[in-house]
Amino acid sequence: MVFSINDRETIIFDGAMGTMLQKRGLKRGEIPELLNLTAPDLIRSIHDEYFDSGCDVVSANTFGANRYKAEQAGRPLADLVSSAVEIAKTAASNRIGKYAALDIGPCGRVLQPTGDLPFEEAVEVFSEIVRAGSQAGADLILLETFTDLYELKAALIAAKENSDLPVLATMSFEENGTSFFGATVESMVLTLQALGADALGVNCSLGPRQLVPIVQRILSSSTIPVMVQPNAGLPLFENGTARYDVTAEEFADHIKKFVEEGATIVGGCCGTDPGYIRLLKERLEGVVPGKKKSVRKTGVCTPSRTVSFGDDTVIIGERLNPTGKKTLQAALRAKDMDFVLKEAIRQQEQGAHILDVNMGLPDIDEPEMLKKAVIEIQSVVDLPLQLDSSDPNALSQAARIYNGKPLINSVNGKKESLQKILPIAKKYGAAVLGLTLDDEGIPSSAEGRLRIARTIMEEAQKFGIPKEDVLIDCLVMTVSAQQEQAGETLRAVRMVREELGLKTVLGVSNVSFGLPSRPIINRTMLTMALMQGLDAPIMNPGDEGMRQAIAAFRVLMGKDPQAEGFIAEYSGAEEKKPEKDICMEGPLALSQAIKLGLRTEAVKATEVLLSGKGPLEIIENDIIPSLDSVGREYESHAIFLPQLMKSAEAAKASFELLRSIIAREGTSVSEERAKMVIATVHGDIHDIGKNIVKVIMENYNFRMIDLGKDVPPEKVVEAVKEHDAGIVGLSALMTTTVSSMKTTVDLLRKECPGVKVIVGGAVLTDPLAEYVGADHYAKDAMEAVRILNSK
Amino acid sequence: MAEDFNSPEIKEAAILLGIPEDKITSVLLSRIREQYMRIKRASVPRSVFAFFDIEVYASSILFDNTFYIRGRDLADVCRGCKKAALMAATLGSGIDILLRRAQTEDMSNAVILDACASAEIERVTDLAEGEIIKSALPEEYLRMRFSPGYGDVPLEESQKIISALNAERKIGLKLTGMNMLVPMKSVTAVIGISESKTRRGRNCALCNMKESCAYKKRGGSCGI
Repeated sequence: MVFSINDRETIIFDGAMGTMLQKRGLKRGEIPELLNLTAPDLIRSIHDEYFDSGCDVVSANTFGANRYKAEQAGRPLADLVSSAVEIAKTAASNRIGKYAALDIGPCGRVLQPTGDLPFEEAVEVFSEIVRAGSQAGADLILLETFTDLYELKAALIAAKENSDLPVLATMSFEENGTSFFGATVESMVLTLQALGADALGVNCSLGPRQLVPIVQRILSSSTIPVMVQPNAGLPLFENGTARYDVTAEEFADHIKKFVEEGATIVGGCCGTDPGYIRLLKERLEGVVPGKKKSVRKTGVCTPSRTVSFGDDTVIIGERLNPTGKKTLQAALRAKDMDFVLKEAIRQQEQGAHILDVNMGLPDIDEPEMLKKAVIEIQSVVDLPLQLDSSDPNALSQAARIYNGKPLINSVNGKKESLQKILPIAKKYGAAVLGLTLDDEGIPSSAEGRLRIARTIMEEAQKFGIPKEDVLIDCLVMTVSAQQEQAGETLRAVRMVREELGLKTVLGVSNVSFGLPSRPIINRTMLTMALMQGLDAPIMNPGDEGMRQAIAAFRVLMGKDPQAEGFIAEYSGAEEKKPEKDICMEGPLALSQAIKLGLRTEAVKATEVLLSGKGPLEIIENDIIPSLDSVGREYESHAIFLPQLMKSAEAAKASFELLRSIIAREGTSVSEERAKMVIATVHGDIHDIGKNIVKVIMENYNFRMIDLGKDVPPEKVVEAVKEHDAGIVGLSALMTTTVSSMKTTVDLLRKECPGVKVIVGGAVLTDPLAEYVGADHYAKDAMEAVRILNSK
Repeated sequence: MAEDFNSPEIKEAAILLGIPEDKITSVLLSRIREQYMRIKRASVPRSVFAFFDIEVYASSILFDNTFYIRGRDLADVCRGCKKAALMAATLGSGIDILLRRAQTEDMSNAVILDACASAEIERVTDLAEGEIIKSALPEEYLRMRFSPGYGDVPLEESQKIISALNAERKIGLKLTGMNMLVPMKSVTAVIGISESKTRRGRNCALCNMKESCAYKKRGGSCGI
């Protein structure tokens, strides 16, 4: 018989394996999976006990079997996994309708950017477990106890890519419904069901009592079967040993309630044993699983934030798109992600709920850049992203490594587009935005656009993408060219909403091209579209007129209760002044602003100076001397790191203004800057020191190529060659990573003779710097400046 | 203001930033306080510990007859003990996210924030150590708290502490390939437990930060 799940029957899993092994003498710190090889009968007897107590599925003893653990155990991974599956399978096949699950837990490493494990390596780590387990005959795959949604996504992709077995996926949550790595219950549900898990839920973490609100949240949002495997309560420590505080009776009562509310797959985790399962089986006799009251919703998410469409207006920020933005184009060509990250943070502060990310420029590698942008943006901003590209390859790579459930922008009614984009959305669990155009172009009537929207929806459903994961953009045309079209677009928005029940998205500001005072047209068009039921405008969240239109709309439509949001934003609007560092009489000299570390004042002072001097002159005559004087104060301990950095930030603000002018004027001055590649070495994930040096060096007009943290030696060499950089700065925090610093320097000496290497970091000393073969050791950023400026 | 500086975490953060007590200004103090509040809001401190029977050898310690933690310096510190506590503590992964974002927004706040986070994990570790003291028998005394990375104890020994405490599952603590703790502001440690009282002070000679220690520079020590 083949394992299958349905809504009407309860499936009972086993209880804890670890608890049972400890009772039989497994010591703390021992590797339980080794017992598959050294004591197979012991493992078999535990499975037998669980089957005898009435469970339908046992989990093979493979929870921690992965390449890292196998290395510690000194046994091949495949042996640990296949022996375990074979033991469980044999136990199951002696009975009727019983199954063996390949049990996979977290791999023990943390994915980038928080840790050092690249996403693709994680997929590979799980793939080899899946391959071994399915070859050994597992009936299903259970991914459990995950606390990092990103790691779980890697495991789920691995399971799908390497087997056809059903996959059940559960996470472990704290009492507040958040996992150790910040994932919420709702984000888990959105992500896992979009990725095609066969069931999802919660295990471990807490006792059944504490899980009640979490299970309710899962049941009210999941459209697929729900699984619950609680611990036997919370651990109590008595005489140094742990005991759990929930009896088998109480446990079974709770599980029965979960089943009556709609959970269909149940079992136990830490602290439970066959006694718990036996009682649970008895309690569930004759109990029909309740019907879940989950509502199908259109939503996207990151691990810590979900955005649902329909309840309230969703603002999609449009600023991360290089079209028509010279500074962003220049930043992308220089692979400078700081600019992108700042823009992302700014849009979040301005109230965007989702960020559109488009990295399309004719002369850059778009798939690589979009992927990089997604990783970097997700490391600092928790807003869901709308992946925007016309290149299916770029969309596929970005959707794969995206952490959560993204929105893909876009598919359209053309056959080719549907065939290429929809499978990507399906495989990587994305919602998809459909543009109402096809091979014939954009229909001029609302009916024509509705027809294409329907085609997109139906095609998506054929690929297994539920209707709520399809959003429609009815396309705004330029009113100065086709005046009647604005009305058609608005009508189409309403028709798509009413006739198809789909959520709509619209890039509004195109409407006013070619007209004066565009903001008037834009915000009016926005208001009109919102009245037709538009769910999500794509817009500049910093556009005051648009923001006002939305704020007013929300009050008038009762979406802003007691107008609280509006009042908070607009009461005393007249008194509101732009951010100001400090009250000053008249403008401050740039040197003064830098010394005091006042960003706004530094920018103002730079503007004043610009009326009489060129950008380069200001850098040479004003900024650098001011920084020198601040640096001297720092070195004589008159001021300290926070003040030094504040001055550096003020100088940076001034620099940003000057560089935007240089970029606009397209002069070649920027070429004259000395180039320095900077990186925290391979294996080291602490990069604050490197970032301090970077900010200071930038202020001394070095062109910094920042490779980030945990950078392999080859990447450093590659960057030096690509940018023709004369200097390399390397940082290492720990003694263990000093060796990778040496490897990097050795490779640089071989591949890039003539490059100057300067090193720093907490453990570094002059003798260590000599040992790694560096040219210089700098104890801090100011010393680095002094060394590099004097040579 | 004066009493603020006496608050141990603020003082610790100032020291980590290299600011001596007589040079601190009220502006700096309020900036440190502000960043420390951000750490408090983002931090979800958790810790776990357990007692083990140990056998101390020349340059390693055997725990529960099951696994060894290597290091002559650690063995010296635990010489004569028959029991030890292993412990792990963390501020949680929210701090990593906050520190990353702060470095993108404003490095001058980020350096303060980082120092405050270091001060906070020290406080949380001390609290956990207090729990260990409470759980120990009245006639038992704790030796110096010793973390992998001090002296000659390799960083990779953290893995054994994490496994033995099931710390990954219990507090969400993991290691990178180069044995750095994740979340970043976390601690693992061994504490020998003896039946005689000894000086608990941290021995600077064993510390791998001895070359760059902010306390030592001013002739002091971190005092734990």
